[in-house]
Amino acid sequence: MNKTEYLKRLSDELGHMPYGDVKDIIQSIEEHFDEGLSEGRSEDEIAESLGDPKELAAEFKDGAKFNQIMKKRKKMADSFKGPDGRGRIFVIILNAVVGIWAWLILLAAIVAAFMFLAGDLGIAGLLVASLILGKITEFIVPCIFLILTLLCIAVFLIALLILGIKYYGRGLKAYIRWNKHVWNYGLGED
Amino acid sequence: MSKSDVKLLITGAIALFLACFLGIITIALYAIKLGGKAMEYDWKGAWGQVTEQVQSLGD
Repeated sequence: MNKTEYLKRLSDELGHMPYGDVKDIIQSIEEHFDEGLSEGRSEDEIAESLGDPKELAAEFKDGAKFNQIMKKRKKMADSFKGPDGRGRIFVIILNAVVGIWAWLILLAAIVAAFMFLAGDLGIAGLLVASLILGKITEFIVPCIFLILTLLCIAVFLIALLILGIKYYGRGLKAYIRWNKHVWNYGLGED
Repeated sequence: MSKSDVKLLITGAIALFLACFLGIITIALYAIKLGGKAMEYDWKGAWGQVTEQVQSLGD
């Protein structure tokens, strides 16, 4: 992959970040390419040393700076002596005992919140329909307050679900990335 | 956490607060209404009917 292709793929992956941040990142990568070229390395070699643009973009999205990423890469490359058996055992045991179950419980909580929201909106809808059709002749004022309470609960649940799903996805992605890292490089210092 | 997330979090927190507030008012209103109904109810008459029915079963 040459410089132009690499920068294009990286900027595509960084798509959701603020424009100013993307500009800074692209500039630092361009400088890195220029430095490498002046040292006599080819564009392909430099692109390869930077790794997959998707993974690099993910690190930027996690808030890492280019210098930090490169230092980490260098450290990892220097210390890497092949796959670490202990790291793999750790990943297997952690996921079998805690990891998978914790993510499944969180997923179940999100599904339960969805069901609760559906029930909440269903009851509120029934009460509104009953009020409009005149089926409720007594307790009209408490019924209106009950509908308002149910609507507020619905707004709370919608906000909770939007944030929950967003951060569940992000957290799961980061967790999988960390697992891959430990699987490949072991539990050594980062 | 982005600005839109913070806004959403604040919206959720306000909605939760309102839900609790309105929920307490709803429970109080139902309690007042049901209490009023209970006061109006003819408990003596109802108990008298039950007693009569039990007695008729015994006969």
